[in-house]
Order: sequence, then structure tokens, then C-alpha cells
Amino acid sequence: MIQLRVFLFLFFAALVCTSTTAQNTHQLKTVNVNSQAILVKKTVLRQKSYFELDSSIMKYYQHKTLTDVLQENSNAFLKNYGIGMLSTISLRGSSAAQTGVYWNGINVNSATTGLSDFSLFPVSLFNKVSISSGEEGQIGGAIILSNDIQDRNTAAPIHLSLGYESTGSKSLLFSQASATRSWSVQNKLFVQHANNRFWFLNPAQDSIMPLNHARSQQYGLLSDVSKHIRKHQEVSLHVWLSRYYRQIPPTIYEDSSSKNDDGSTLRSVLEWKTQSRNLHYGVHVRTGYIRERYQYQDSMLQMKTQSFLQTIPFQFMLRRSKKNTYADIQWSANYANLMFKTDSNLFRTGPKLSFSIYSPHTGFNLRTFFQKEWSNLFRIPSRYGLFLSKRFKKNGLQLFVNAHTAVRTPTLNELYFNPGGNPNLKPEHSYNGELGINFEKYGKRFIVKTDLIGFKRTVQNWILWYGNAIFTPHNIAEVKSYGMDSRLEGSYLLKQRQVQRKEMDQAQDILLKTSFMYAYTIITTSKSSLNASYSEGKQLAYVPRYLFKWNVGVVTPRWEFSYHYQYTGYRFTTLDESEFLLPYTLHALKAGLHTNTYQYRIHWQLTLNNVLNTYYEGVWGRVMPGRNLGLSVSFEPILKNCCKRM
Amino acid sequence: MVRFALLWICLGLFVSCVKDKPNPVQTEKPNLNHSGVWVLNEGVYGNSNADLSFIDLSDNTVYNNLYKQHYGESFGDIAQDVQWIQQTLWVTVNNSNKIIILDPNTFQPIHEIKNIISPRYMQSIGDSVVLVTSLTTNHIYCIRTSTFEVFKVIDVNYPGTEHLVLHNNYVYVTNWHENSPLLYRIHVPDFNLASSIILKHKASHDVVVDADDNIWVLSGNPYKNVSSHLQVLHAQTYQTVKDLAFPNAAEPIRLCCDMERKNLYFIGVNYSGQTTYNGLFKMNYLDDVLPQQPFIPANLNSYFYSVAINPTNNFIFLADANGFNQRSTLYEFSGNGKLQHTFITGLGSTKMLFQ
Repeated sequence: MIQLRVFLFLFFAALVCTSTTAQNTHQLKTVNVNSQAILVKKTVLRQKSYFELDSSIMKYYQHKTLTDVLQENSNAFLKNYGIGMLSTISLRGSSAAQTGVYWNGINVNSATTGLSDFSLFPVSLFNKVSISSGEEGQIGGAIILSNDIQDRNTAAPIHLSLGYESTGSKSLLFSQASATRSWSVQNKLFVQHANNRFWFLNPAQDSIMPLNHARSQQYGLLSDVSKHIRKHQEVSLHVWLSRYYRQIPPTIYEDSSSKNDDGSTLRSVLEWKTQSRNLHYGVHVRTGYIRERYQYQDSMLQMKTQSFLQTIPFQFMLRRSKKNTYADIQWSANYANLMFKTDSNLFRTGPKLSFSIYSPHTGFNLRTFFQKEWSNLFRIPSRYGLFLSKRFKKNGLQLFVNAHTAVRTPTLNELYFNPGGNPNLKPEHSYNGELGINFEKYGKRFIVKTDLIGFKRTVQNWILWYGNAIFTPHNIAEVKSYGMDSRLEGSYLLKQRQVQRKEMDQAQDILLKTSFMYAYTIITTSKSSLNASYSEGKQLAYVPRYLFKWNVGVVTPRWEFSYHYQYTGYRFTTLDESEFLLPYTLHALKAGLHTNTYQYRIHWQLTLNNVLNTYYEGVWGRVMPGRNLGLSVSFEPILKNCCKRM
Repeated sequence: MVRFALLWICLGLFVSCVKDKPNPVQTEKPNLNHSGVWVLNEGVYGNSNADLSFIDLSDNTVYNNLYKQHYGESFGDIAQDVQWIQQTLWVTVNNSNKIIILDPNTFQPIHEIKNIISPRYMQSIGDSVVLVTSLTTNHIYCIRTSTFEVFKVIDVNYPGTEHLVLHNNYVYVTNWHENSPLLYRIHVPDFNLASSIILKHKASHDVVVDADDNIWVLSGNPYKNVSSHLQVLHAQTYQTVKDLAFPNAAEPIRLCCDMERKNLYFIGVNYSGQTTYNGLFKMNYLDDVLPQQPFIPANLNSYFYSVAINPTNNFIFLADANGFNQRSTLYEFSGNGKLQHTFITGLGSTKMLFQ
């Protein structure tokens, strides 16, 4: 409660402080340039198994969570326990805990469970969402969420949006952004109340029935404040408070449920970054505080579990850069402990060295890193890697190869959960390799971008939970995976003209946009530590071998229409492929309308999900909604100079 | 753009060469004229996939998923016990709150008794009445087998009644609740709670009667900080004959005995799969100390989940649930602990029944 009060105070104080500041376009630009100077090289040198969600995509998901946006617009597979329920990510067959989820540079995966529940991450809270499948040092890549200051350039000072879904979900989004020469502030509030009620044909009970006991409430408050101390020096604070309560509905096999879970999380990040005047040296210090509370309750079984956790991360980075070369020395530390439990903690610390060189003439880019960490519990293997790419300027082709080792340390639950925690666990250790092609072609009327990446990975000491009444995590020896991760995007200009309307130049382009995403993932146990295991050579549970998505749409300045198709292949629910869930195909239609009133730009959006009312289960027995409708409306004030800038 | 799309699709098809559709499953029925063992597979918690296997011991053929293959659906969530009663198989399905009575020849259900809350174990009384214990309530249900009706509910002091055994017109019922030191004694002809025997230790969960008619009670719940003990009661006086304490953190389960009731077996479970007190333990009913070493040690990273003794030859059937996320391994050992056969059964093999 104290956290909430403190946060609300900060939130409204920031609102009051910034409401008096003028909306000065020029000032915003100044901020932007400075920020970009720090970030530009990193962007250029980033490896290309990296994909950033377009802001035009993100706006469709303002009232949705990361689950929805990633499910429809990336090669990630989301293991979904039902509408509004736990939802975890799998990139290239990885477990959710192997994929780092970074918010403003800090890994916000829960230190207890090791994973992030993406159904509790509203898209609208973030300015940028990126997927880095080959993130160095991470076994299963990373999801990168940020509220970068530079993005506020395009953000409206005030934004209000209301959403409604036919499953009984109501949501509200309010955001505010403002900046002066030295200060920049952004606040966002997200509230969602959902009944999550829909009717479905229950195959286990052969009757049409409603999904009961599925209500959920979610609140998110996010505030970003940054201050430019000098020309190349900036301090920023990011605070994110979230709280939720949800009833856990019965599976299709159960008549009723009395389970529910609720939790609250405070995440905060404090950053300071500076550069020398000649931009040759830069220092970046980042620390934070994360506090989590989680409670699960089953009143029928009179069962209640609670956990309280705090995490304190710290990062220090010194960068030496010159022309197209840079070298980083980084020291990081992370302390996590279960509160009210002595000796239930994990501390990791160690250095990371990285070096990168880019030759604009030859198009070669080389990056290498070495990372060593120590912990208070176990030996952590060293991490190292090499990335090499070659860009061909003439035809927009880039070839790259990426090889690195990665580590995931056991979580506090895996080590200490009672009953079942296994303090003898070793960290997971992987050898990752990828080989890829990026291709971009810009024509007069079209743009084509494609990523075609083959990957191979071997993970040793993969951690898996065994058991029924009592679950215990084990290192199950070795898991190998390989496959292909590909994406093809294209835009075609159907019509182009300029019109003069209300003192503003508006482009009247009519665009045809399409994207194909295809993921082929084979992930099998190659060596099991069990004496009698039938999992060797078999696909791991809940990793579809085939995943295909297609989006196509027409965008006009006033209207937008799009169609989404998704195929998800067989998903085994056991390690020996003896039980499985059937494949499913989904179709969705979306339409958007922009209207302008005297002072406001209004954006209407209508979405029809699961058009063919397909029955499917995200997880065994957990039914997903059939045909459902979503409607949202957003309001933004029209700023003349803002629009010119855009 | 068409060229890029074609190239992209061709490459995609080229590298995608693994068949996605799983292999079809067997659908034959076993020959029930042969001697064999029924194996109840509890399934994965929450997945409602409990089922039944049969091993034909004449040719060691395993028939899995019999109920689902022939009836079209699984038993439900977490099958707990199976018993032969009046030429039918009775199956308690704990998390689905029901008992299924099925015809073993057709694998079709004859009847479902619903609204039995968390049914655990059954004890048949002369094939006319079945007593059923309950995990979450303090009830013991009395069911008439001719009508499948619950004709009486016996209330006890604590929830969590577990294994039960019939001996000399009394049914002895254990009580796994961490605060319960009671062993309930139910008089059979009238199904009344005759008395509650106060044990030395709490959380009893297994009970057998040995060749001298002494009652062996296994108790403990390390998860709830109740250490495990094996207490032996005199059959007439209910005085403690033996009181044997297990090492700290040892978790013995599934107490059973051979046909002569002279050798007792129990499983020591180590959930982390380490070697400490992990395996099948054997002791003679005259022993005054607990075995220190397992008679059949569990494999590293594994633990045994259920055990049964073949009444015809005292061979030991020992199941490893393999983590409950793949099929179980059922080992058949001779009476002296020599491995005879290995079978692959269903998910979470929890109970064996010989015919």
C-alpha cells in the first residue's frame, strides 16, 4: 500500500510539474538528438536476428497484452493457459525461463519462477517491443521492452483510449508525455476489468457451456522521468507498478474451480549515462529494485501459498568508442531473495568484456564478448561468443553468423520451493549457433524485407520439473534443437497523392502491407539423466514443430483493414510424445478508422478474433475463446506543429 | 516480390522434413483369460488423463490406454485405486470426485458414482459393501455394490483418511492429516466407528496386518514437518509392540506385504532423485529394526512410485513414474530382487491388481 501511495504521489507530482511546461517541438528534438548520439552505434551493430515491432502494429494492441501482439506478429510461441491467464513465451523451443525479458535494460523475469507472465504485460505501457532471438548470453533469446526517451518524439502529450471486448473485458488507457529542454516525463495508466466469459462446446462433457470463474482485474502504472544534466549526461528513473487479481477457471474436465491468484509487483530502474565531449568514452550505470508478491489460493482444498521476493540488480558499463569500433567493460551484480526466509537467496556477480568493429567500406561487422559470473550457490560457466556479418551494399543483402554460449541459473523456486525444491541443481548451459540472411530491397513502390535464419542449439543440464503431488526440478542432461526462423515483409504502394487539408499536408498513400512468419523448430532430448526415459529423440512438450502466420492489410490515411492467419502444429504434452494437442488454425479481421474533430484525432478500431469459431486449447484442458469482438476508441489532441514534425 | 516469396517458401519446405502427425495408437483388446496385471495410471495432475493398462503375463504384452481407446475418454483426473468387486473393476478418481465401475471385457463404464469428494482408497466387504476414504473431507463413504448408493457416511475427527484394511470384522483406517494421531476402527456389520486408536505418531497413511495379526501402521508427512514412523500394534490390545523411527527427511510410502504376510515392503521416496533412502525396502515381520539399505535401489534421478507383490509367486512389480511427464516403467523382479522384465505402461502407474 505504501508503494502505491509513493507511486501515486510521484505520478501526480510529475503530472503537475509537467503540465505547466510548454509543448515545444524544438526542445523535444534537442532531447532526441542527444539520446540518439548515445544509442546510434549500438543500433547499427546489433545483430539481425532482432526484430522490433512496428509502432503501426503496436497501436492495434493498445488494449491487449504482449501475449496477443507476439502471438500474431512474431515467430514466438505463447503457451497460454486461457484468456487472461498465465501466458509464457517460447522462442525457438526454449523454456520461458531461458528467455530474458528486459525492461529498460533490467531482466524482469521473476526470480522465483524465472519467467514473465505476458498476460500481465499490457502492450500500451511500452514504447518499444523487440525480439532478439539470438541475444548474446541468453539461451532462449530476449524480449526487450523499453520506454526510450527518443520515442516520445512521436507520442502525443495526452492519449486516452477505451476498449471493450465481447468476452466482457473493459479497459482504459491514459498516457501523458511532456518535455522541456532538460526534463522529460511520461506517465501511463492501464486498467482492465474482464469477465472473460464465453460459451464453448465442451468435448469432455459434450455440452455447450460458459467459462465460469474467470474474472480478472489488472492495474498498471508506469512512470518515466529523465533529466539531462549536461549535454551528454542523462539521469532517468523508470517506475512500474502492477497489480492483478484473477480467478482461475476450471479445465474442460472440471465442473468448477475455486482457485485464484493475485499479485503485485514494483519494478524500478535508475539509470545514469554520460559521454565524454568527443564521444569516445561513455559510462552507463544502472540499478533497480524489484519487489514481488504472489499468492495462490484454492478455497476448496483450503490451500494457500504466498511468496514475497526482492531483487536488486546493478550494472556498470564503461565504453570506449572510436569511429566504428567500440570496447565495453561491464560489471553486473544481481541479488535476489525470498523475503521472510533466511538462506533463500541467490547472488551473482561478474564482469563482461565485449568488443565490436564495423567496417563501412567492406561491410564487415565483428562483435565478440566474454562474460564470467560467480554465485554464492554454484559454479556458473563462462559465456563467450562471436558475431560476424557481411553487408552487401549493392543488393541490400546481409549474411551473418552468430555463435555463443549461454547460461541460465536456477530460480529461487527451483532451489528452495517447499516441497520439492532441489538445491543440487546446476545452471543450464548452452551452445547456440545461428546462420542467417537479411535482405532489404527498396523500390519506387515497394519495400521487401526478409530474415531467414537457421539455428542450432545444445543445452546441457536443462531443468525440468518432475512429479505429480510433489514437483521437483531436475537437470535432465542434454536437449538439442535446430530449425528455421523466417520472416518476409512487404509493402506495396497502391496509390500516392498529396492533399491540402486544414493547413496540414497529409500523405494520401494507400499501402498494401503483408508479412509471413514461419518457424520450424525441432527440439529433442538427446541424453536423459533418467535410467529409463522414453523422451530421447522426442519433441519437447509444448513446442510446436510448425508455426505459420500471415498478415495482410490495406492502409489508407483514414481506413485500415487487415487479415491475420495463424497455424499452430501439434503440441505434445508429454516428453515421450504419447499425449498431444491437435493443431489449430485461426483467422482474425481488423479494421481501423481515423476521424478528426475540432481538437482531437479519434481512432476507432474493430477486431473480430477467431472468425471461424475454432475450438482450441492453449494448454491441455484450457479452452481458448471462440469468435469474439473487440472495439476500442482512442483520443489524442491535434497539435499542428507536432503533425508537421511527423 | 513474388520471387522472394517463392524462394522463401521453397527454403521453408526444404528444411521442414519432420512429420508432424503422431503415430496411431494400438486398439487391440487383451485376452482376459490369461493371467496378467492391471495397472492403474493416475495421469498427470490437472490433465484428466488417468487410464488403465493390462500386462498379459503369458507373453508379456502391454496394452495401454484401454479405457480411452475403447470408451473414448479417460477416467478423469488422478485415478487413485482399483479393486475387483463382483467381476467389475472399481476405480476411484480423486480429483474428479467420482468412482467409475467398468466392465473389464468391454472397457465400458457400467456406472459412475459421483459426488464422492476426493475418493482415495477402497476396501471391499464381502463384495456387498465398499468403504471409500477421502482426501479432503473427514468422511468415510459406505457404498452398497448392488445399487451403487452411498448408504452411510462415517464422520471422523480429521480430513484425509487414507489406506484401510479389513481384519476380523473391523476395518482399520489411517488418517494422513498432520495433526491426527488416530487410527479409526470401524465395526463391519453395522459400519459404526467403534473406536479411535491413539497412535504414538501423527499422519498415518498405510496399514497392513502381518502373519501374527499385528497391525503395522506407517505414518509421517515430511512436507508438513511430521517425521515418519512405523508402529506395530497388538491386534487385540492395540498396545505398541514396535515403534521404529525413520531417518530425518526419509519418506516411506506404499507399505505392503507378501501373501504369507511375513515380508513387508515399502518404498523410500527421494523426490530429488538422490540416493539417500531411495528405493524399495524389505523387512521381515520379526525384525526389530528398519532396513538401512534398499532391497532394490532406485536409479539416480528417479524414485519408485508404486509396488505390488504378485500373489502367485511373490514376484515384485515396481513402477517408476519417470517424472509423470512420460510413460512409466514397470519392473518385474523375482522375490530375491532379480530383474525379470521391464514394461512400458501409462502415465503415473500408481496401483497394480493381479488376475
